[in-house]
Amino acid sequence: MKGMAALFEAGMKQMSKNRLITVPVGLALLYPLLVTLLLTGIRTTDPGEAASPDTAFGVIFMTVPMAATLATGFIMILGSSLLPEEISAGRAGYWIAQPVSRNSYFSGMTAASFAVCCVVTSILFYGTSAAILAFLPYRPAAIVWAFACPLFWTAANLALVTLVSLLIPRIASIIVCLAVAGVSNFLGSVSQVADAVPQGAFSETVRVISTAGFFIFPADPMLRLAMAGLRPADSSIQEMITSMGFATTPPAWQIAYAVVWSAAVFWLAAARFRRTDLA
Amino acid sequence: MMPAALRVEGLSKTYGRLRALEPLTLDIPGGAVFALLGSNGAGKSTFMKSVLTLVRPDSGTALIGGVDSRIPASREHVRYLPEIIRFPGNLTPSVMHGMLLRVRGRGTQADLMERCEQLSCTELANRPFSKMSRGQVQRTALALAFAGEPGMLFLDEPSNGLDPEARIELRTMVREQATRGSTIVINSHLLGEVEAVCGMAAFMKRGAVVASGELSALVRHTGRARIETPSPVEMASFLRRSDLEVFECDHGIEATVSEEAFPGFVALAAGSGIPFTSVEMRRESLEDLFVRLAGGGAA
Repeated sequence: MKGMAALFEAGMKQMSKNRLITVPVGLALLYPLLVTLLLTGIRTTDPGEAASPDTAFGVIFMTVPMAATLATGFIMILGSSLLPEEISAGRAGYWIAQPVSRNSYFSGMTAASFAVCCVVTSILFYGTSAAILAFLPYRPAAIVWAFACPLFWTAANLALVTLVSLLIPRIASIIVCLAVAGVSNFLGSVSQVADAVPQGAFSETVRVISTAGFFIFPADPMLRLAMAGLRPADSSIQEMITSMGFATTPPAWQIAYAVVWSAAVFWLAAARFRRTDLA
Repeated sequence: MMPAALRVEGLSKTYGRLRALEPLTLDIPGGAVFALLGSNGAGKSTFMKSVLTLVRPDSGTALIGGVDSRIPASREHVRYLPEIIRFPGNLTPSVMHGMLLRVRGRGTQADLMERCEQLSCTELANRPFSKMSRGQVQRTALALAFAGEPGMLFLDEPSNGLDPEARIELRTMVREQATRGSTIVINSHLLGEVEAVCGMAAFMKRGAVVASGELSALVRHTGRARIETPSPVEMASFLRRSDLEVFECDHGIEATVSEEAFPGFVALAAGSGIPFTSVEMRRESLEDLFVRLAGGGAA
């Protein structure tokens, strides 16, 4: 696709000095710093407690979901504004009047927004993880997942909001996507509980709905997988919830599904963009 | 006349229930400065956008240099200046041009500076768009559009926001570019501007082309001949003796004369012995032509 690399660069240049992007990125940097402050406090007040894997478990439980919430907000705002703003400002038409295809334009711009979202996700997730790992000496269960899954999670969220923003107005698209993410998170929790309790103790309908939630929007398991990978392997809390039947790590096929789902939704968004009149 | 640089066949577009473009067929020859004229909503911008594939036509094709405009390569030498564009406020025209060069794969930064000089805006080349006035943005947008050697230019209301000096510079640049062989399609409501630079035009009304061709061929005679003379009173009384309807006007007279009778009218005036400096059949102004062909309100 000729011109895609140039359009990726153009997208990055446009966003690199855009306050809508730079201010949240700057604010995102604050979060790992705040986590660091929290950890400094824990280590100073009770060094023995800080050495316990259960403390790491608690800190992860407290801080990573918040990092995910902040990253979700950023992805929704950026993803919902990029293409609609390009179209309404006349820039999309300006670029497409050049010798580039709509696919190249879409791919270049979306890749640029994905790259920016990955930067923010990395700051929030990896910054928080790095702070926890630096201050609390413990052995993470699966560090590879902790590092890979936030990127899959970002891709799924961005794919959803990119598609929805091309179908409905911007603010409505943010509301819809946040609602989908919230419901998906809730259904993910329900699904975990349903898996933990014995067959028959949980309504089959609820079990089906919670499973369907994953297939409709598979971002939530990526977040759970990232947290599971970061959690201490030898925490007593971890052992307790495992003994209760809670699956600590979603199966690997869920990652593959999330990747395929994200690619398919990006493809749908590209198809929608190809049919959009840039009037 | 050169072969068609742009050939449009049966191009049509509907927005919901609104028929924005009736199936439209048009040839624009290479090297022409071609005006699209019509009231608001006549379909001029939709025509440009359909040709450039910014909107998806319901039917028909547009060939740029013989290549279907849906193929990106057909637009390699095409430049487009939209009526409204908000460039990223944080970028400068130089950076924007650099990005366009990467997409086009040809040209140099010097191309932009050359055009900026022509439009007296070299100091704006490295200024962020957010720090420019509306007219300054338009100047730099024009410089971006003309930079390099465009084969075909689509200019949608290019004079928007320009001061009189910049308009003169734009006219000069359009004429020069046409002499270099570029085909220029202009959509404008400023008939004076159009008259000054365009040799051909298409008049659009409710999405259809009602007339097109050389402007000189489209204008009609008004049925009046004009004689410029230092003695209008004497000339008028002389002509009235031949049962002609004569009106005195500034620096001469006008008489109701058909095109066929014009040679006899000239001979009559010459035989009067009254001095005169010129005699001509009066033609419609572009404004008259616009009202006759494209007037009657928006679509």
